[in-house]
Amino acid sequence: MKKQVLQSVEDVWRHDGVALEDAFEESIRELTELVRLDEYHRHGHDREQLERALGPIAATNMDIGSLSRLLGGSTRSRAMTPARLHRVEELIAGLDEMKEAWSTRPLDSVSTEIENEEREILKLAEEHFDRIAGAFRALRIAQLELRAKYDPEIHDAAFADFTWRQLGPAELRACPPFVVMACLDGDRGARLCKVMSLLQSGMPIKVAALRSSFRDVHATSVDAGVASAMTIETLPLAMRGVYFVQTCEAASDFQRQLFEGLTAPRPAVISVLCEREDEDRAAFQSRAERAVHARAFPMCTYDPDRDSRFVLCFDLSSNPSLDALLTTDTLLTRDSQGQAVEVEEPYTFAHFAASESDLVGELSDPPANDGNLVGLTDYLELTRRQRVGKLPFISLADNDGGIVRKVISTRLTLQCSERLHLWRTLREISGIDNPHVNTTRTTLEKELRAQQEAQLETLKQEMEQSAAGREQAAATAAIRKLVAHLTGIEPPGEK
Amino acid sequence: MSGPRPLRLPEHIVEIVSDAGEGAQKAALAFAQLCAKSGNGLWTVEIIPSEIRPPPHTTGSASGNRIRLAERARVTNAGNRANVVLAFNEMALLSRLEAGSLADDVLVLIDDHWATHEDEKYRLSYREVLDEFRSRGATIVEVPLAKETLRHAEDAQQGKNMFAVGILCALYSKDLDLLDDVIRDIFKAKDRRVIELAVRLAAAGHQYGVTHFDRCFEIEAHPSDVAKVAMNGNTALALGAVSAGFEICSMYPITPATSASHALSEIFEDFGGFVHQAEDEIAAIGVALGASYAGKTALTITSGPGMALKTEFQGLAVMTETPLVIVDVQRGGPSTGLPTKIEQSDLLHAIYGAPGDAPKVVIAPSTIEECYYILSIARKIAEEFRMLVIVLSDANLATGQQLFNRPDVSQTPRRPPLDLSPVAPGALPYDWDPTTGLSQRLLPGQPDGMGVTTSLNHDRNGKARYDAESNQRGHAMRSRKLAALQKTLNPPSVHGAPQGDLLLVGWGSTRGAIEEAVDVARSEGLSVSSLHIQFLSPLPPGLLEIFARFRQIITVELNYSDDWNDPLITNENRRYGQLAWILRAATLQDIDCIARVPGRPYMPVEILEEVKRILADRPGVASSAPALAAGKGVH
Amino acid sequence: MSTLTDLCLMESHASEAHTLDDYESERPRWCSGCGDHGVLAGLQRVLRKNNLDPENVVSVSGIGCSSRLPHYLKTYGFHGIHGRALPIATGVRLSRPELPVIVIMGDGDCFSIGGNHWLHAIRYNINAVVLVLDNEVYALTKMQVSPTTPDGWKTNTTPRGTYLKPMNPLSTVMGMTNISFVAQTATWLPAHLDETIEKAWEHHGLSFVRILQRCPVFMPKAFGEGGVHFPLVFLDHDDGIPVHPSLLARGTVQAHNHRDINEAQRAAVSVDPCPMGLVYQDPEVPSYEEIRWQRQERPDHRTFLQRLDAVMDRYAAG
Repeated sequence: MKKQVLQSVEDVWRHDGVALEDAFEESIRELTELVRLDEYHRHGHDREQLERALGPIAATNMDIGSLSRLLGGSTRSRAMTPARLHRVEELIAGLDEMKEAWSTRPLDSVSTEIENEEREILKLAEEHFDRIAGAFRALRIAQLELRAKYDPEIHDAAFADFTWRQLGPAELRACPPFVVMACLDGDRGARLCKVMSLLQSGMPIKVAALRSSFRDVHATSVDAGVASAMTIETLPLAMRGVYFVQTCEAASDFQRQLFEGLTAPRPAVISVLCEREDEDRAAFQSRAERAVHARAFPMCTYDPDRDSRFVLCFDLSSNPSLDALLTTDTLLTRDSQGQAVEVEEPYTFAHFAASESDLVGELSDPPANDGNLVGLTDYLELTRRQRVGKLPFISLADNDGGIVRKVISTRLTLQCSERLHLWRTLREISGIDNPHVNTTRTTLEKELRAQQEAQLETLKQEMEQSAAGREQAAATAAIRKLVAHLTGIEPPGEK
Repeated sequence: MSGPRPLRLPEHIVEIVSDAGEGAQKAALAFAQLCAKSGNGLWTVEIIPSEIRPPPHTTGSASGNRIRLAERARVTNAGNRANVVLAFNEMALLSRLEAGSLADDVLVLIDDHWATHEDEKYRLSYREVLDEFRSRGATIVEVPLAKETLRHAEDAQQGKNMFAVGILCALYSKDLDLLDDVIRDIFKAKDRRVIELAVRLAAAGHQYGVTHFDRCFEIEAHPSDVAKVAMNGNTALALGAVSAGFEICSMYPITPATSASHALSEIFEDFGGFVHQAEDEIAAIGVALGASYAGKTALTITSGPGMALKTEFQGLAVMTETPLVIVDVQRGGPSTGLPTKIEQSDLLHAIYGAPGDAPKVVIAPSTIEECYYILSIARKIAEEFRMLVIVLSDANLATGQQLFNRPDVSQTPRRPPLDLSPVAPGALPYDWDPTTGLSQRLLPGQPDGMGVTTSLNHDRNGKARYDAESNQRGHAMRSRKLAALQKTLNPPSVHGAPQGDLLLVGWGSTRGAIEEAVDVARSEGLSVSSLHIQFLSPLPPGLLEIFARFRQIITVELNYSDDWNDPLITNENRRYGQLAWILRAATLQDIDCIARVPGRPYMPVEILEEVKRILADRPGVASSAPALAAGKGVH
Repeated sequence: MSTLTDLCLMESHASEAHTLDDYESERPRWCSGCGDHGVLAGLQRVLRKNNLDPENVVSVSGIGCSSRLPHYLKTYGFHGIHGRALPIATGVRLSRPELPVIVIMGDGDCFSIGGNHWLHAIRYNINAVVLVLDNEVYALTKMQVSPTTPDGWKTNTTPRGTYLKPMNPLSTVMGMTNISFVAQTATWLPAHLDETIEKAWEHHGLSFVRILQRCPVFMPKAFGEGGVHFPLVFLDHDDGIPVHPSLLARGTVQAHNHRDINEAQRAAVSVDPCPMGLVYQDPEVPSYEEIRWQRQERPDHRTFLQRLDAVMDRYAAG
């Protein structure tokens, strides 16, 4: 997986590198044309040039010296000042050099490891970004010069101290990324803190946080439910200016998400689930999917630039069953009559742990006396007092097509609880779930229903009344007609 | 090889004519290339049927070429009456007689197929035509063209022409191996069998000539190591447009200009340009003007009727001082006139045609070589002076082919890039230099140069103005530019002695014939010189001085003038040729003219006869009953 | 221009936002009440909205009251000759395809003397905004009949009333090949006018917009006293010209699929009520200048010379 991430980095680098090279080439070409135009202004109507331009027969009928004198003055007056010409020529040379350098730049100095000294990492990053800033500086100056808008009095100072801090968001997006690789397996928080410390510098560093194990995922607190250690998924709350994406191959647009993260115009953390050392690709693929289903590895993206409102920046849509707390698994078993029966079982972290080699030890067979067994999801609803003496269990499919129960350890229970709480939190901060909104919605629904019923009632009454009225009128009319018919006298008021 | 001793001559004129589709043109091409390769100077002209689908075997269907080959390298015109004519049938032959194109003692080589044709009508006309020729002094040589061709090919129609070239090769003592090379080159795109057949037929024709002809000629040839090219004037204009750096040519089809656009259309896209065919003549110049206004001077190519339609736009170009180049390939007028015939009668229209006072530059190339270079000159003037430049070519240059020194392409300068730099504060769109009237153009895209370019009278700001003073000034500035240009022109050089009895003045494609006539006249002791004017607006300096040294000044031009001997014509109402009219006004001299509209070029001998007549008459009055255009009708 | 250099341009400019004043060059001299004022304002607004540098816009007009517009719009304007704005605009597009072009014409200018160019310009589909300010009369030359003057109307050249039914420019246009954008609006519906100009600007291709306009001096009663008694039908579609509720007082609304050519032709043919809005749009029609430029090569100078030499070889002789 590390290789995949590095491959993505390379791809982005190549993409950005090409864009930079194109920009260099275009600027060099246009500046060179500017110099050529200037050459034309200076000498285009010199006698020899004019002779060439007019061709060999012109001299018979035209006095080319005289024409040159007539035209030369005004053409020469359009030439650049020597100072500007000098600046432009230097700029072309500078851009040429940079273009050369960029095309030969090796890739590995662009990524580094979290293990290195923080000071070292920051120094490398600063060098990298200032180098890029140098390129953009030259490109910006080129645009100014091309439009004759470069004013040494203003711009010399403005460009004298040009660092990455002066770059605009779109330029930052075009910067080849500086990547810090961080493996978070077994991290008790120190590495994550180091990551945050690096990001505090404000430099648009990209941290690739890789994990392949769920062993120590944040379940250090004694209390059920909430971990006091920091979780990487809630990083955006602490650092609202950092782009965050947690993703893995279970996402259909995994590559795109990597790309977006690597090209964000701000510091970014890209958290990726990786395969273990000797893990088979196919096996990892299904493991990744299970991790996502179990809410062990919720996929999310936080893009601060998407909107000014936090909830709209936070996106959970890669996850299955967004509207539910837990996904469900269907287990096949047989009932007492031996008939095939399907059982819905919520798929928790504990279920996932059953297939993780470093966590499977946290599950054990239930005791013979199963009177104290409580299903895990129910167990998590119990208060601390209610849990005394109870054992949480989960149901798993066994190899013979049956269902087996496993008791889970306290430690694992804490982890389950923590992951569930995280998922709930993520749903709330992304705006999918909000208790206040829910209450309001319920109230509104009730009111609306009541209104509708009232309206319906009114309408019904009116209809009945008007029907009665029409009946009456029809009866009256019928009698009138009958009378007229019988007596031969037209009653007044008709027609 | 046995045969008669060749008669050495300095030049000869051969016409090859057939029905359309029988390949006389290809035969002519092969023969011309043979002569060129062997080092002769050349001028060739197409003989075009006047209608699109004339009935065959009539005088109206004659198609072919006239080839003038010479010992000297530079041949400048189509020459006098032809010495040799090779005809595939007697009606084609007759058409050349009717065109006045053949010398009385012409050598006729004719396909004798018609002498024994099954149709009596053909046998009769064949005899009658040949009798007519004999009575005029022609020598008839009947050649079994069709019969001999059938010995080698299945279809005589598809091979006569190559047999004919072989005959000419023998007649002119040319090298058969060289002809072989030429034929292989011409047919290189064809099937091998076609090539071999053509070569065989040519060899057979050559053999026939060598064994049967009692005379042959030798026009000495001096192959030079100077690279040469041969093309017609329209092709030269097209290539010239490319080398002048034009990027857009906008046109509408009109004879005889269209082939220039065809030639350009084939190649322009490879050079970053394109030819746009507009919906009409007016749109054509509109597009060219719009393109020029936006910064890339453009070109439009047309003929007389198109010039008329473009007149309003010409005025717009002048008033807005937008650079523009129009090429007018002149033809017989007025109105639809003679679309395929030669005339130079758009001069006054070109200079004065637009309403109001619209000073513009008018220049006329006089040779095909000049057609290649003239567009570079036109473009430079148009851009730097912000003027409309009209280039007057004609059907003579357009369809003739001349051998000239291959242009050195490496000398072609690169177009400078568009100047889109910000405009200096306070810069005005018509910042006329009060002395010269010149001003710098502001191009769309230049910051701070925004403003409206208007067809209304305007001041230096470009703002519409209605007062007397600004109108006067605008006129003065636009007119001044002509004077500024005129100051950079050289006086034209006199061909012949700088003083004398008679000075012939010409413009455009008549140069070659005029100078040739003058050379002959001078060799006979006559005191005549000639002058050729390239810049017609503005006129070049020095004319008065030059004219002062001659007793009589007479223009020679292909446009209409009243004849002194015509009824009702007097001093007060006589209409002059167009250049004569201009020169009379410009110099206040009593300049007369030789100005007629035969629809074909003057022959040097015709001009010479006029010169003699004029010098014999009282000076100051042009000839009565001129000997020009003696033949019936026109080409 | 590559995206990066474009970015750098934007960043380095410290992009000046243009104001409406940046697009006005002198006070317009149209009569008070003339609809041309509204069109000018609409154009200025659309230029400002897209923050275009005034030097990078070209406006071309013919002759007529409306054709004075380039004098008042601060761009590179070309005030040409009667009926000939479109060929000039085509020339600009062919030679400088990076410059957007606005064409302003009147009804006589476009439909009468310029008719031939009008039809062909549509087929060329040059990428330009083409506004025809139709006041149904020749106003500048003091009231002569125009091809769209209503039946029986008295003008100075038809003092006893016009002889023929007026032409319907919309249905004329709908019959031409390569149409890509046809819309109609009126100067007395300022918001609708603005939106239409905006939409015309966004469209890639020839955006033909007929703008009905009442000349207050010579045609005060035209269009039912300037729209008061002039039934309209607003063509409505999500991607069309928005129909604001205030417009409902002026006419009815009709759902209209402007991508369907048959529906568009039906809408175009109707004159009473008069259709307003986007009649037809096809954004996929290529423009002539694109087609020409795609086929072109721009060789460097060395290649240019080599090729010219190769062409010259074909004519080598002797």
